[in-house]
Amino acid sequence: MKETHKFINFLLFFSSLLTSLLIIFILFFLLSAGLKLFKSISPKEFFFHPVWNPTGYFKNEYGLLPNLWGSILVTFLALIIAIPVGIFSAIFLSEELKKISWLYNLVKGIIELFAAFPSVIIGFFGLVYLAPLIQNLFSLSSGLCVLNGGIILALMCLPTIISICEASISQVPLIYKEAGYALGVSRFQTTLKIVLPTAKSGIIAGILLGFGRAIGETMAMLMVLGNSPITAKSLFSPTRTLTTTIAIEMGETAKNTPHFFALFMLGVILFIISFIVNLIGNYFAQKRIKLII
Amino acid sequence: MKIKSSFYFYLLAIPLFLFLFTIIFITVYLIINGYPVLNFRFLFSYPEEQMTQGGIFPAIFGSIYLTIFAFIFAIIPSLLSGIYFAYYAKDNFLTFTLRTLIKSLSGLPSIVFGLFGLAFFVRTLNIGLSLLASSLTLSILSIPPLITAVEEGLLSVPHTFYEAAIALGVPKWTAIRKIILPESKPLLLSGIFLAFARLIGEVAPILFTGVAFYLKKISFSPLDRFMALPYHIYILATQHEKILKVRPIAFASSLILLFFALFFGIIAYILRMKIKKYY
Amino acid sequence: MEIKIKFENFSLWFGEKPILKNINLEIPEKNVTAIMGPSGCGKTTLLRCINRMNDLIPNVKVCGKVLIDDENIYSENVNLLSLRKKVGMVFQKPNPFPKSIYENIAFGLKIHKFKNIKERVIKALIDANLYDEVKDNLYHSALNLSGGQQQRLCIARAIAIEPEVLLLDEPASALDPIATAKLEELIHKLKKSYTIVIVTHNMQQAARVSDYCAFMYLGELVEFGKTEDVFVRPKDKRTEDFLSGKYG
Repeated sequence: MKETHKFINFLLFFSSLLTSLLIIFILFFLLSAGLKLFKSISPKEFFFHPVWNPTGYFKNEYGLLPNLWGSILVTFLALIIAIPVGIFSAIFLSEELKKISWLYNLVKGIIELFAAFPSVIIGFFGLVYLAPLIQNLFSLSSGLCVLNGGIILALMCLPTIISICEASISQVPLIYKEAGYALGVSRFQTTLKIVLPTAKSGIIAGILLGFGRAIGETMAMLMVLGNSPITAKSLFSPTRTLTTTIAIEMGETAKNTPHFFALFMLGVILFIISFIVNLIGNYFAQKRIKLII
Repeated sequence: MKIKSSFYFYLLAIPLFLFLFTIIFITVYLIINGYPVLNFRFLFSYPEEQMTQGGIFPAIFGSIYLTIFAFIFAIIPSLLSGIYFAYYAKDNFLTFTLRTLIKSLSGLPSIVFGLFGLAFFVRTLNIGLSLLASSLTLSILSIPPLITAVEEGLLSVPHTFYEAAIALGVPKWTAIRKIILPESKPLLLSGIFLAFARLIGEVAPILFTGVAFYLKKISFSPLDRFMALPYHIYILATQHEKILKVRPIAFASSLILLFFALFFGIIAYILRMKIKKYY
Repeated sequence: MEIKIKFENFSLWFGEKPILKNINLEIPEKNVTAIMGPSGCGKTTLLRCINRMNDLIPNVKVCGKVLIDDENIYSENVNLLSLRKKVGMVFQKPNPFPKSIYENIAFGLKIHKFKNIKERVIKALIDANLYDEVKDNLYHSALNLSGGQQQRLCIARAIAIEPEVLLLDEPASALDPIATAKLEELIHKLKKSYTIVIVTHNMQQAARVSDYCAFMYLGELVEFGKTEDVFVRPKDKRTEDFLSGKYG
């Protein structure tokens, strides 16, 4: 009996150890391909050269910056839209709509289901509906641009931001609010002045995890950004991101060329960004729980 | 005073209403544009005339086949690890580290999994571009949320049941398997269906690991390449040479994919609502 | 009088916090021994040492011995499963498994590889004074029973696997007076066959059901003796204060 117990104990631990080592395994394989790039070009060129042109006529150029710039531009645009919407929605859901429980459940259900929408479908919508709309509205030659990507991405990271922010706002103990009401402060004022600062960690966590979700989005961005290698200078120019460059070019490049390795290196950068953002995000998510209990 | 506060709250919610409206609009837009093309033949026949005619059967088949395989690979380690974290792990630094790593895994962009699948399964293990390589890649992606589902499910069962079993001299493993696990079914299944919903729509992880543009014939062998519904939509929407001619098919395919994702998502949601109250 | 359970210089800590301080106690066989004291005095912890349920809590440290039939249950090579088969337990809140009444009792029997399961289930229900109330719906969910019935089902579940000791952790605290009376009647009947240890903060209950009685205060065993002696002539001032209601 004791032997079985030990065996099961070991099996369960071993499984958990393996699954948690997967991420290190993934990094190892990305790096082992990506670092081979530096046999052909210097790290300095990869990190600071402003052009990405892997199939140039005279010279192949593998600059990280245009891809990184596109990712950051679209992600920040998405967050500028999604953060206020997300926080306002979370406040409304937890402080007001909860009183009407069937409606609350319905709205939460819709948002939760939207998180399950495949990204190609949202991208498809951006392509066939939003793009012509933007094109006509601003008289552009194409609606596949940074603005389109930002809106689509904002939609996609909203469920994450809303649900994490809402959870942290709901966890603010009633006594904090009662302290506000007792001073004669209105419910709305109490929410802004007392509830929001208390739920700060959770809100930061929601924003960071939303950022992580946004920067890694591939398929929808592939469909709505126009995929131009030029460095985007306005909301209306097409661009490309770390994810879309990898997705488009991996299929076309020959194996074990500098181009192939450069794409893996972009993957490494993507890995590092999302790993750090998630780490900090999860730290804040944890902090919120500790604060309340 | 109270009315005034509520008024401000509703003012704050205007963007939320816009968001909800957009969600519903996307759904309705797809239904309106996709429904006219849908029929029985569309679901069960092969693409014809360079995909401008015919159906999407191989893509539906491939997606379902792929999801099933990925799930089979993912469920065993997820169950074991979920049970470990819920009932065996001690509250120490090692556990904290393991949890943090798994949480970080769940935050990685799906294209990163695709690169890993290409480097490891396709090339290092030399499986080649195939359904097997793709489903293995996808399974890694769904392990972290499944672990969370297992753990949440187990912890939703009152601890008193576990104590009662232990006090009867029931071995820990048996108590978990016979008492706790069956009771955690609603949340567990909910997590599984959510994983299905996510798996069926993923493209980035299968992009370099085996999905095919077009196949003449479906294959049951996991070592062959396959078509997948979301990739098919992507091709029809952006890569096809007669892009406007295939648009109706792209709409209908999107509607079918959305139907699958929502079907799984709604089942997951209903199961989550059904959590039992014991006392 | 045979001694069934014996605590020898037994102490227990949760982390750094001492919960039980140098307990020495001898619990006689086939009697009801009540452990009482104000909440937080360690009485439930003491009870849960007898079947080592405290092992489930992380960071528990113990020192000293607990002997059952002269065997130290805290020694290295003790088999916890057979210990817990020998020492049954009933909890504060009724906790039947979310299964049928029949399955609740059959579960433990199957695990411990008993034969004639059906007969044993019925016998356990009869012994727990529950059979007449549930005989027509043995296969219905146990969660539909009343609190008192659930608690008697938990007793039936515990005695079905033929333990020698029965630990009751405030078994009546969630029950109404009528259900409590039925339960106490049952305890009275069961003491012919089992050594019963019951934890209660209700001293009238201790007086009604027990033969021996221990009083604990802040992790110490203050007084132990025959129930009538402890109640009529308490030796320690703290016991007297408790009995006169000074600790609430």
